[in-house]
Amino acid sequence: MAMNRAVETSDPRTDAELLAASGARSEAAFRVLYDRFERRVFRYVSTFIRQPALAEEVVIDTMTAVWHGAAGFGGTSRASTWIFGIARHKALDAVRKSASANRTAGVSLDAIEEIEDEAATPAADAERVSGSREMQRALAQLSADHREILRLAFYEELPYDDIAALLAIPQNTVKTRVFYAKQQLKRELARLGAEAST
Amino acid sequence: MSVSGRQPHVAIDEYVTGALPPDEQRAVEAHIFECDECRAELEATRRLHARLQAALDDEPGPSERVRRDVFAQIAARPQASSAGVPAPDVANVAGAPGAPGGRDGEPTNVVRPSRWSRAPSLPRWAQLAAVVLIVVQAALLIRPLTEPAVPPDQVVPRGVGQAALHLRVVFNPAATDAQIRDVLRTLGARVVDGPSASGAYRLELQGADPKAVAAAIAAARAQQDVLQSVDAAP
Repeated sequence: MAMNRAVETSDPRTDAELLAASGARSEAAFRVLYDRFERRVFRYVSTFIRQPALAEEVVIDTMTAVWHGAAGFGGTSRASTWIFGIARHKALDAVRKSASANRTAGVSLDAIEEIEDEAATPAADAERVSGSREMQRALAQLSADHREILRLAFYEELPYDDIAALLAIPQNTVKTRVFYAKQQLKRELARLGAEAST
Repeated sequence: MSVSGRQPHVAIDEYVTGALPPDEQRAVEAHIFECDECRAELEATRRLHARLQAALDDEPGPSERVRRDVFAQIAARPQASSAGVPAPDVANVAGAPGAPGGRDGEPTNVVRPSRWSRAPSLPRWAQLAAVVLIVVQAALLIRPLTEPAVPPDQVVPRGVGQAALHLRVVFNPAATDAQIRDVLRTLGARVVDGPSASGAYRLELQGADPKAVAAAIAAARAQQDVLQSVDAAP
């Protein structure tokens, strides 16, 4: 798995083993699991929610649900798929509540795209790490669906059948969505490259 | 995506991320060896994959307060599962392998209290009164076993030559179990019936001195925090 490289811990146990130990009420195991997933869950949630404070609330809800529900992990999917499933549900729930508060009806991920951070500005974007800025800007131009599928497939490196289960879509849809997301991403990168060269 | 804009002939995206099983990986490798178009696509996808990972690695994480809040919440309810409280059924996330989706494809990880952990529908005073009734009845059952044996010539048949006084009482909903027991002890009474539809209980005072009972009732009436009403019952 890809992202574990960023917050790798020395604990040799797998995510599934840590989850099982957390289910047996080992707070030490949960702390290791938490270190592995806190940033990943936050970034995944940020795919839909661009208000950092709200995304953080979703992370808190997700990780406490992981602790309290760890004993219920059946091991039929990757531990990461299970955790991202919880995060996705919590994030969409937060989006619905936010939309409801704004008197917006018929909310779905496809329709709402994401909750924008009102404080986000081009200047704030420019503060991001410069080496990856172009890619981040290109990603920001994609739909939430495309950003999500690229993250799950290319960053989390989940198997397509896990992604299909997580998103409740057929596996063939996962393949075509990855295909079109990549196409769109390449177009955006090309456009940004052209802008930079002019 | 292929370099030409068409779908590649094999699962190059999954191959790059290592998501393919070994036999399919070998099949992709065999195909790439022969197909120039897919070999070019593989190189392009590898570059994109690396750039994407670097960019997403550089994204900011949450603030420190997230960790603090999570572990504070865990400390506040550390034994949720092991104490018999059902854990959230988070395994039933929509689309999770082997887990049915909820309504409209929503996850079904709704936490509902167990049937046995729901708050009882009876008011508190009724619960207390029921406890008192059980305690009194249990005491009456045990009493013959614990009382010292009485010589047969001293046995006086109960109910013969003894006046039984009955009272109808309504306990204050806020009264505690201990307060109710104190009142019953003071009156020398036991609960023989109730609660009625109006929440009243019937108490029986065996062989009590009428003057003493009257005084006890007056004293009980004064305890409005325990008794809402005390009346003589037929």
